[in-house]
Amino acid sequence: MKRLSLFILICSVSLFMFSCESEESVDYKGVDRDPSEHAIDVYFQENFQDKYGCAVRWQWVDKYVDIDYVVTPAKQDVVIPTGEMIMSFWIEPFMTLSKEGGDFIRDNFPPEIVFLGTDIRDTKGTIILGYAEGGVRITLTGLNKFDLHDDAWLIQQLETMHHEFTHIVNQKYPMPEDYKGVTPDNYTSTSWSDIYTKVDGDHDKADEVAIALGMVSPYGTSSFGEDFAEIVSKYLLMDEMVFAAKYLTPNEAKPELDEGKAWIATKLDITRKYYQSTFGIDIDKLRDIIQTRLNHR
Amino acid sequence: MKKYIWMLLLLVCSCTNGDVDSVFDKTPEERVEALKSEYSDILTSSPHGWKVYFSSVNTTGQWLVLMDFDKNGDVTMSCDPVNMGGVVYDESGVLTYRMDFSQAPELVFETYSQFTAWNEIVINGEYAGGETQFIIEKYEDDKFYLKSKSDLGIGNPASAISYFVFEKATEADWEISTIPDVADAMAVNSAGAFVYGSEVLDQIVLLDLDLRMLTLYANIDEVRNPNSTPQLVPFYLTNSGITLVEPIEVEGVGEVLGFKVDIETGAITSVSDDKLMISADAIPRIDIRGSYTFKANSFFDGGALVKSPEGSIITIKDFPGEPGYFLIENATFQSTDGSVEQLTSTTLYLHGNALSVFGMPVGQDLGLMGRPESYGSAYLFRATAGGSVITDDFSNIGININENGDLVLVDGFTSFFAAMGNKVTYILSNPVFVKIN
Repeated sequence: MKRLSLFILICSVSLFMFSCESEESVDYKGVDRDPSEHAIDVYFQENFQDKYGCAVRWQWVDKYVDIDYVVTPAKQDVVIPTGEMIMSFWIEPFMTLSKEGGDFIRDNFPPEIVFLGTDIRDTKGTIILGYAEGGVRITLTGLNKFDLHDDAWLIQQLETMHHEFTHIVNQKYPMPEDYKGVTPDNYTSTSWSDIYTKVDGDHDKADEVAIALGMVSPYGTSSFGEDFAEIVSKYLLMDEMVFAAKYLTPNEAKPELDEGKAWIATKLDITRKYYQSTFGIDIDKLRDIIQTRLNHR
Repeated sequence: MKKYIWMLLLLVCSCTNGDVDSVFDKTPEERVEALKSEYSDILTSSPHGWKVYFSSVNTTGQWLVLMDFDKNGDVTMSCDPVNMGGVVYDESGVLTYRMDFSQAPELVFETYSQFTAWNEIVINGEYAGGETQFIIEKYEDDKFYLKSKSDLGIGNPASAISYFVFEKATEADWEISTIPDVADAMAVNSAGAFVYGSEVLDQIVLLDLDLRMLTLYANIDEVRNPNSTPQLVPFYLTNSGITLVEPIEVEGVGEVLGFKVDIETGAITSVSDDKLMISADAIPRIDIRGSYTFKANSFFDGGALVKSPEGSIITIKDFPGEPGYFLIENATFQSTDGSVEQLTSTTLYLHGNALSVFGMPVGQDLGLMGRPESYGSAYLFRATAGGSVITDDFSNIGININENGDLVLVDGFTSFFAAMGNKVTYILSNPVFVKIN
C-alpha cells in the first residue's frame, strides 16, 4: 500500500511539473524603435549622450516631475541654446582645466538632465529652482527665460547646475569630514526659510544672517550637504573680489559677521584641499575659467 | 491513501486546460502600438489639420488653436492670441508631439505650447493652469474627444477636469489674422442694449473681449443691482465676429448663437437676424457730473474704517469736445485730514451712461474688465499702464455707480489710496464716493 501511495505521489508531482508547462515564452518583448532623427535629439545624442553618457530630457515626460508640481515644458527654441550653455559654463571649464578635470566631468557628469520651461510651483506655492535626484538626475527649471545677458537668470541657472552637480559628486565621494566640524551647531534644517521671514524678505539681510552662521546663503544653513554645495557653486560663479568682500574679508562696519566669515574661510580652505586631493582639481583655476567665460559672453 | 487519490485527481483536472486560446492575437505592447499608430494616422491625415477652442478654466470663453500634425512628430500650431490685461500669450509655431499611452492613449505636446501657456495666465488672482497631456477618450464622427490629464489625481474633484474636442480644420479656419481687428471693432459696442429694428429692448449685453465672456442682463435694474445674477455665456472670436458656446435667448426675437461685426463701423449684428443689433448708444444715459465725497461704508475694507480719510473729493466733468464722455478730475482728490496728498497728474476719462460709467475710452488706454462675479459690481474699468496719463499705480481701478447712485471705485488688487503720493495709508477695497448735491 505504501508503494502504491508513493507511486501516486510521484505521478502527481510529475504531472504537476510537466503538464502545466506553457509552450509559449512569456518574456516581455518591447517595441523596437529607430533612433530619433530630430535635429535636437541628434544634437544631444552627439554632444551629451555619446561623450558624457548623459540623456537630456528636453521633451515633456510627466514621470520626471512630481505630480504635485505645476510646471511647463521648455520652449523648443531654448533647448539647444541651453545645451550650449551647459557646455560652455559647466562641462568645458572642467575639460580645459586639466586632464584630471576632464576625467572628473566624464566620470561624474549626471546621466540624466531634465529641461523644464518655468519655475516649479509646489502645492504650497513655493518656487523650486532645480533639484537633483538620487545622484543621477538634475532638473533645470525656468529655461523659457533663456537670456545669457540676463545676469540674474544666468547666474541662477549656473548656480543650480554646479550646486546639484556637487550633490551628485558627493553621492560617490563623501564630502570632507572636517568640513562638518566647522559649524556643526549652526544648521537649521527646514527652518532655513524662516531667515527670510525674520528680515521681511530682504535678501541682503538674509544673506548676512547666513554669513553670521558661517554659510554663504540662507539655504546653506539647512544642512552640511547644502552648505557644501552652496559654497562650491557660489565660489565658482562669483567674481573673486566680490566673493572675498562679501564672505571672507572682515568689515569694520559689520563686526558681527567676522566670526562667520572666518568659518566660511575655513570651509573654503577645506573645500579647496578636498577637490585637489580627491580629484586633482584646482577650484581657483576652475573659477577663473568660468569667470573669464562669463566676462566674454 | 484517499488523500493521494484526491490530489492526483485534482492535479489532473486542474492541468488539463493548458491549451487555452488567447483572447488577443497580439501582445499588449503590440495592441498599444497599434492603437497609437491608428490615432497618429488619423491625426496626420487631416488635410488641413485640427482645431480646438481652448480654455483651461470655465470662467472664460475660448480661443482658437489650430494644429497641423506631421508624421515626423512635429505639429505646426497657429493660435488666436490670448490677451490678458495687455499680456499676450501666442505660442504659434512648430513643436514636437507624440502619441503616448499610460493607462489610456494620450496626446502629448512635448514642448511649451499654447496649451501650457495657460499655466502662467492669472485669472481672478489664481493661475488658470495649463495642459501638456490630453487623454484621448474616443474618436468618433471625425472628432477626438479628450480630457485634461493634469487635472486628474488624488484630491482633485471631477469638476476640475476639462474636456476638449479636436475637430478637423478647414483651409478657411487658418485665416485668423483678422481676429484682432474683429476684437478692436467689437469694442465700440461691446457694452450695449439690444436693438431690434428701431425698437430698443430691455436686455443689456456686455462682451468682455479679454475674458471672452458675454454677460446678459434682463434689464437696466438688474445691471444696477450688485446682487443680481446675470447669465454668463462663454464665446470665442472668429474672423467675422463671435460665436457663443451656448445660445442666449433674446426676448421677442429668439435664440441667438453669435454676432458678426462690421470692421469699419463696429456695428454688431446677430448672425441669424440682421435686425437684431447691440448698440452702446441705445443705453440710456445718466448724468454723473458733479462732485463726490469719499465715504467709508460697507464696501470699505475692514480695519481701515477707523482711520478713513473721509472727505476726499473728486469731481466728474464733461470731457471737452466729446459729448457723453466724462472726466474724473483728481485735482481735488485729496483727503481732508491731510493723510493723503493731492494728486497732480492722474486723470481718467470715462463714457457715462445709465449702467455706470462705461464705454470706450477717449485718448486713454482703458480696458473693459467686466467681472461682476468677482466684485459684485456691474461694470469695471481697468486703466492699464499703456495709457499716457494714467500711471502704473492706477493699473487696476474699476468704476461703477451702485443702485444708490454712489460712485464706487473698485480696487480689488492694491490700495487705491496707497498709490497716491506714495503714502500707503489704507488698504481699501471698493471705496465709495457719495455725490455732493
